[in-house]
Amino acid sequence: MKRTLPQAPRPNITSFIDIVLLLVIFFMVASHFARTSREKVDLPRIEGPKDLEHREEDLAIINIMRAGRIRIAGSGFSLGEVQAFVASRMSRVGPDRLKVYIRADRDVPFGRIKQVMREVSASGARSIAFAVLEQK
Amino acid sequence: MTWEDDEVSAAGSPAAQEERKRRYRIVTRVPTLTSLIDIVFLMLTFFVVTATIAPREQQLGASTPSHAAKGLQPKPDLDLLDPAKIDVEIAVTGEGDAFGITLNGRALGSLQDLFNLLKGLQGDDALTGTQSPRVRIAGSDSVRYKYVLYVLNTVHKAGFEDITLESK
Repeated sequence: MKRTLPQAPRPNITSFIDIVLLLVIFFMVASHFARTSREKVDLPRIEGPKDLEHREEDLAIINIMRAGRIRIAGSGFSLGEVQAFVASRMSRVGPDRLKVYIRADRDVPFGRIKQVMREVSASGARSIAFAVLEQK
Repeated sequence: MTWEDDEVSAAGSPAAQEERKRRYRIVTRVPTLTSLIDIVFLMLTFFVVTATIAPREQQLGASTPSHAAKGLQPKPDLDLLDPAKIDVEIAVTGEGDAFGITLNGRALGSLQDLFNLLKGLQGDDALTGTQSPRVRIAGSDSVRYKYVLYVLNTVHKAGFEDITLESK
């Protein structure tokens, strides 16, 4: 009787591929979310800033680009829309915990920052923080 | 032992055949994990490298004008030498790459001067004894934002906590 050689069993790697793809998609999506709330902004560099504790979910992030454009959560906002944005974040987080986090280009005229701050004040927010990088 | 060897001695007791089958199962069930490990290392390296490149942001804090306005009224005749007047008002003016600082109307030459003066105020018992001193920073419209933050950082470093940024 002639017997054929058995095929060497191959491992089933479907689940491995599933996991790897899941990881890749997770990190792509997570980094996309990080990009949308934090635009690429040339932040001021400060010597030895006194860092503040914060919880990421308590922040209302406002990006102010070099030309003065306001970008929030990945889309352009007009000055008039800032107040409504901060108010909506405050209703979700609460006025005591909310911190308005301004990420502005280092060379923007301060007048533009003041305009945004007036809108933030009008919404009733109490605390502002400015994003900086530490100067090495 | 190879398969051919097994073939030669195929005839045997059922127990011996079962033993051979068991040995085959053990030998052939080890999957090659090399490519998987490659991918995992590649991903690990990628995320380690990108995490290092992204700089860590830090924060400088201040109160919004409306919140601070409840307790703080601007004083037109502030005088550093008068211990009864506790508010410190700093103005930052300038345009382009130049900026100037005044502290309660007194022009200062550098951020270091500002720091020294503020430190002096911090050590003043009359100023710090009864209530925490408030600092108000007013930047002009044309001054670059970063210069205002330099001043804000200096005030923080001098030990003041109650800081308001004027937005008028």
